[in-house]
Amino acid sequence: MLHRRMYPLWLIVPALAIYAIMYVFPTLSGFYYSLTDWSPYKDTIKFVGFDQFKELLSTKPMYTAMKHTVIYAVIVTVLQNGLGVILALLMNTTIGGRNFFRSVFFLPCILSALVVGYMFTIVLHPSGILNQFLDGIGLSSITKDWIGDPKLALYSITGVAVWQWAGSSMALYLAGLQGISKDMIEAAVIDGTTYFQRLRFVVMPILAPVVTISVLLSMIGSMKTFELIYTTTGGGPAGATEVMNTFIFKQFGAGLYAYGTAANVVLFLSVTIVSLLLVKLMKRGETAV
Amino acid sequence: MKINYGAVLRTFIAILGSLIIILPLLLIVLGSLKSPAEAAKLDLSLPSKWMWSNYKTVFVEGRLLNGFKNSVLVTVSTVALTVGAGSMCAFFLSRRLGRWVSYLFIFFFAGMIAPPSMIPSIKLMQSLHISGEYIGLILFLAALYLPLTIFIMSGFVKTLPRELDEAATIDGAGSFYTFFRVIFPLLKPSIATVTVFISIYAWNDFANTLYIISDSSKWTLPFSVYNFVSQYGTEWQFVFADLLSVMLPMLVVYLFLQRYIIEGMTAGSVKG
Repeated sequence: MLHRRMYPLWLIVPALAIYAIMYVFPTLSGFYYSLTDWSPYKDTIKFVGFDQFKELLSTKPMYTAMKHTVIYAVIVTVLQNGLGVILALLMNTTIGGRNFFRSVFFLPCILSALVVGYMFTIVLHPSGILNQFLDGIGLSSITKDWIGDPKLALYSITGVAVWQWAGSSMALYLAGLQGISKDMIEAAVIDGTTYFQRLRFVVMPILAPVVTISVLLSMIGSMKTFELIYTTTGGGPAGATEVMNTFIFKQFGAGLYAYGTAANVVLFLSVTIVSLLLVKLMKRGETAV
Repeated sequence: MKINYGAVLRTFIAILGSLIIILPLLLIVLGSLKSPAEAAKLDLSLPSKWMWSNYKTVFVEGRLLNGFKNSVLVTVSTVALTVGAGSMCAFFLSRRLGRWVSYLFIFFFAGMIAPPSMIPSIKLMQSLHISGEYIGLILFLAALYLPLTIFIMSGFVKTLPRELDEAATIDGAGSFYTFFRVIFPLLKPSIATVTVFISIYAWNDFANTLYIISDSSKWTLPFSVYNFVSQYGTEWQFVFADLLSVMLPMLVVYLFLQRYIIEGMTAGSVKG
């Protein structure tokens, strides 16, 4: 009795109400709307079953958007975490101005993706500083129209995403590395191990849970990417950088509400499935190392 | 004297890495102070004449003060609402016993992974008559950030001894008093963590605001850039000045609170 009086139900009412009404309800009603012909130009909403999904899955635009989302998410996740680990290892050694470097590497994470997007449309402009730099060091042959070329645009934007988020992975891994006791490393040194052996057999097993979290975060985050694409290319040139969220936004703009909602359901399911699979896979990996 | 080549090499790599971060930002700073012709070169040269007047134009034309005011309003309200509702919920979830409580925890946890359903959310807000209003945006952002808030804070509540609640109750405090006067003040470190990341997310939010707010007088600071680029796309000096003005509040805060911000965002994601 005292237990219930100490922790009464009203404590959860505000959070539960906000979350259930503003997040859970739209998600569930989204499942329903994706089975209708809902549009702002119609007075009534008619149930049409899986027609929207049939349309989505039988035409190319969504496949392309999904393909780009997956390519983008995988590249960003791999590079961001790879670079994050390297930077963290670098910052974990004796190095002058360590705090300064750490602050600089983390800085892009606090910027709005919108600002970063516009900044890089200028940097990657055909006559922007990247090409100026390449010209300057005699590599004029590899100057490109980084975000105007349909073949390159998606990869250029993954580079921008890595520029912004590598610092956040670094901070995560650094926190993990600093949790490793010096005694363990010293013991391994006395045992005559090389640097890479210590990395493999001492550092990696301890860092494994951090890797799981960091990979999961960047995977989920990059599958939901929107601003960076929207500001740099808007999904273009010629749909070459269309990802799920820009695709959904376009359907919203065009008044294809049910169709866009159905695409959102596909994204919802993909993110959920990928996260669950990844957790499972990484947990197995954690015990293996 | 022996030179540590390894350390020199490492410092060199770190400097190179920092340049990659700093140069694009420097481009914006220098470009924002140039004349139109010089800014159009998009290079890293120093301006021959420092055009501080660019900022005046941007402030007036970009309606930056209006955007700043709106951003502060949205960010502060979102933080207050999320921390308030989230801390109460976290306290309940990590104290109350029962199987349904752990299910409820998983129910909140799911919100950290799945993307929100934007179009049905707009429909809901329209029927509640809060679409296009700050209150709609704030409630929506709060719903989005509550799961992570609850997750971090309930981890922290678990470190506080239960005896505190019991002692307060035995001394005759009601549940309201126990939570707000005894527990809430002890949650300070986790409140700081949560405040850091919600402020940054809410301040930088563009996607959700784009869906929800259509009235341009209600636009937050990031929209100033969006609006400005579509209007003055080729007048680079203004675009540069606007980008920097929008970044500046965040950069200033970062300059003073970087340690807390890095720790806060790291803790936020480690526990998330």
